[in-house]
Amino acid sequence: MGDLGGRGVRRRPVSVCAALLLAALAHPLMPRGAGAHQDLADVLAAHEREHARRGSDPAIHLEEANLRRQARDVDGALVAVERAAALGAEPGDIAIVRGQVFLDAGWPGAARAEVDRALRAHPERVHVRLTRARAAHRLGELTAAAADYRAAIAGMRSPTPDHVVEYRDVLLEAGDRAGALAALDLGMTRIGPVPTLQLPAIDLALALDRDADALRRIDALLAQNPRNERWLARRGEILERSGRTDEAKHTYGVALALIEARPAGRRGGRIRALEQRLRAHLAPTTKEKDTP
Amino acid sequence: MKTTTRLATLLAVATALASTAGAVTVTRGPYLQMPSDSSMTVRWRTDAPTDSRVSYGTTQGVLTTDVDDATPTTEHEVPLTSLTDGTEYFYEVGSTTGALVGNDAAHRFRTNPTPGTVQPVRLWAIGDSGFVNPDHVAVRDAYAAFSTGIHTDLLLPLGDNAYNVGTDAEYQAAFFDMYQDLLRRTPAMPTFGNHEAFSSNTLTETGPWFDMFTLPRLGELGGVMSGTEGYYSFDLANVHFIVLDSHFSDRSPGGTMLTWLEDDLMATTADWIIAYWHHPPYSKGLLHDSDIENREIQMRENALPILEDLGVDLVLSGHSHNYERSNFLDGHYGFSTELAPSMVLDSGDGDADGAYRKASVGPAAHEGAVYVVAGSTSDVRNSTLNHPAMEIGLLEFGALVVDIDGNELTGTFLNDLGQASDVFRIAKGAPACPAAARSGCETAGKAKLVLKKNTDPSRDRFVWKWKQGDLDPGDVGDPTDQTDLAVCVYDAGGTLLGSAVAPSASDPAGAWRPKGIGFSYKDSAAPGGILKMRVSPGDSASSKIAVKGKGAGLGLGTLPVALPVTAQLANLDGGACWEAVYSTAKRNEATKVVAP
Repeated sequence: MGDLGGRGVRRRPVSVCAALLLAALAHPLMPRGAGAHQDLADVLAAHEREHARRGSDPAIHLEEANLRRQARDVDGALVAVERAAALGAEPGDIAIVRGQVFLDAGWPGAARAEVDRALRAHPERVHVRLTRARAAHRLGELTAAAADYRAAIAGMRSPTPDHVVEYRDVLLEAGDRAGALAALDLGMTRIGPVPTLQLPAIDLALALDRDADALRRIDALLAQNPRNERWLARRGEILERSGRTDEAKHTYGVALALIEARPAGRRGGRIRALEQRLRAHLAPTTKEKDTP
Repeated sequence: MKTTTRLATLLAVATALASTAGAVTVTRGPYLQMPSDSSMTVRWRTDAPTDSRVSYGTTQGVLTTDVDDATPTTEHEVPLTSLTDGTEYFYEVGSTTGALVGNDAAHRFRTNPTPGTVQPVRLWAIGDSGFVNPDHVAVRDAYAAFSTGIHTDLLLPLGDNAYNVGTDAEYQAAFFDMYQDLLRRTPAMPTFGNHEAFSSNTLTETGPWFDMFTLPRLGELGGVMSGTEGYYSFDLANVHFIVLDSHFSDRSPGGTMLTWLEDDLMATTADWIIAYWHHPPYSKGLLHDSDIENREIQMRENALPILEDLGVDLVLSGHSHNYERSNFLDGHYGFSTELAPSMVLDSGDGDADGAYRKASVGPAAHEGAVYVVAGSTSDVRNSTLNHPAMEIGLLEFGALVVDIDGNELTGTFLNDLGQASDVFRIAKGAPACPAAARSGCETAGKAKLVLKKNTDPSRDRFVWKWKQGDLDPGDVGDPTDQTDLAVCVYDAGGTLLGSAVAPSASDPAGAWRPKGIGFSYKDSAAPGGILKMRVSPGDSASSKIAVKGKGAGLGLGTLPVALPVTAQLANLDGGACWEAVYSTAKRNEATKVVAP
């Protein structure tokens, strides 16, 4: 249907208004993300209709504040928060929303003050500690940020790998590699031995010269899938670094054999790059070449 | 959780039924989650807290096993384990004091086959289905009619499945009430849309969306563990599914989601890979332009290179309230203006002019993928739909049906009127004769078949002439473009005795040329068994098919043959065929068959 041909578009007639809207949207100055904002505008319009039914309910105004926050409408969000407050919203709820608005607006100091207030009222709302951790991080208060990340990850019903990676990054920024490794372990205790945490944990273990620990970790991953060529390659590299050259070469060989067993079609750029990496590891060194 | 046999608790249940049945009402479901070859999770909601019981068995009316959860709740969630693969189970839900619903034909599910099993799979993908309106009802009912007698293995909600903000009440109306019949027997595996994001958050896994769905985070259903329900993978038969979060999760290369994606794809050995998420990588929908929206751009730039390098076949999205379906693409990661002809591996329609074909069976790097935007299940918005990567755009209500059978995938956009407004097919591997003879073929007034068998298969020979039959050029297709033709010979038992394929000119091995109003094929190497073929369309006075084949490529079986023997010319990209059935033979010997 486009320049390359096709069967085209089947449509209902476009109204004049819709055509004008389409023309406006096709304008080159149309900003990125405009479509997403339009969705939000639709949602807000529906939300305002809901005001007629539930206008005296402070919760609806806090919902609106959250919607406006997502739309980066800081002023509108804060006005909605004030409306909720005037209608008697619970102060802790107000502080949470206001803190998130402030944080998104780039005011981490104000955000932390609000979230402090919220957590004093509701220390059990452990996910709010994530907001405070992010605020502290932006303020450069890494120890405080790490403490809140730790509490949040330990206490949340479902922490995600992304939370754990944020926590790790704060500790790395503080120069605490061992702490960062412990953060990943805490995450895996809560979430499970997910590769997206175990693989960076291996990197950190190696950075800390804990080769045996790194080997234990890659073996734990391989227990999930013994045929993962990339993990096998990583195992070989750990063994090689530990001076266990023969075992390393054997592991590289196993990985390479698995790749070679793949049909040709299953060897894309990533697999070919891995294959080259393995072949480089298996190539005889100068010393080996010189050995009669 | 406690499992007991029905016999052991029969008396207690009967007593409980008599005393309490009717006191509690099911207000949501039952609905099915976490399907595998050995398990299924049954969920439902009641208007008052009770303990939970699911009773199930393989015969309707004879539910032999109970699984209980003693915790009083209104949100019941009971995993059934140690089930038999590929088996249909009937079930009912309730409490230890009485059953509430089920134990009838409407309440049943089918466990998955063992992963990797090749069997027909039917999926239905609904996108942006969040409005409750007559159009949505019509789409649902059209699918119900379309799928009569065919089991739907999975429902794939593509996000924005409850407007306005994905609240529990909105989901109740637009999803659980709307699809109550289907959800009783088909598990739903959803992805997260931008409207769900107004009430739920994939980063904290909080909100109604996470409360109402139970999704695999630890690789429970196959695939590598993601550690989150926001994005996950699972297997069904010979298909691997990837579900990504295009809204909240980090979409950058090296971020946790795309790192997981790469590990997951490297591990799968499934024949087919289907990925889905909400924001389409290619779209010109109203207000949702993939050249403008960040999420769409980032998914295209960052996720697609990984997916295509590791063999994705089909990508589904919603968001734009329309239907758009791409050409057969690879390597298009830029803006729409940057689409180059080399990125379109097959500019055909994927149906009438032949299926999109991937040479490899199983995941294969950069052999092409189809991208579908199916966001018009409950709303249609006028738009230009002029993305150059798209083969077709439709401003119609509907949803996408996906059928996978062996090495062929068929996508059908079924609209609210029950019409298949778009059909595309992806076929894998070299074109080949069907395992069984086709029915309804055009017959000839005159036809001759010669088979010669040699101890050296390279010297096997095949000759077939067919004439005085109806040979419509429209049915033949265009082998100089996309159409693959094959000659297939079946013995009396229906076994494929020999075959020869003349691939279309789109295949590197294709050697077709136009000849008059027909086509001729010539390849002295005969890799697919065919040396020469001439297809001359026309009526019964002028039509003609002449085929000469040779060599091991024929796969010629043992002679003599059990009569009757059937020879067919099949259009492998369509249903058309032309045949001759030989009940007698002039010669039927170990080295030669001549019929008639």
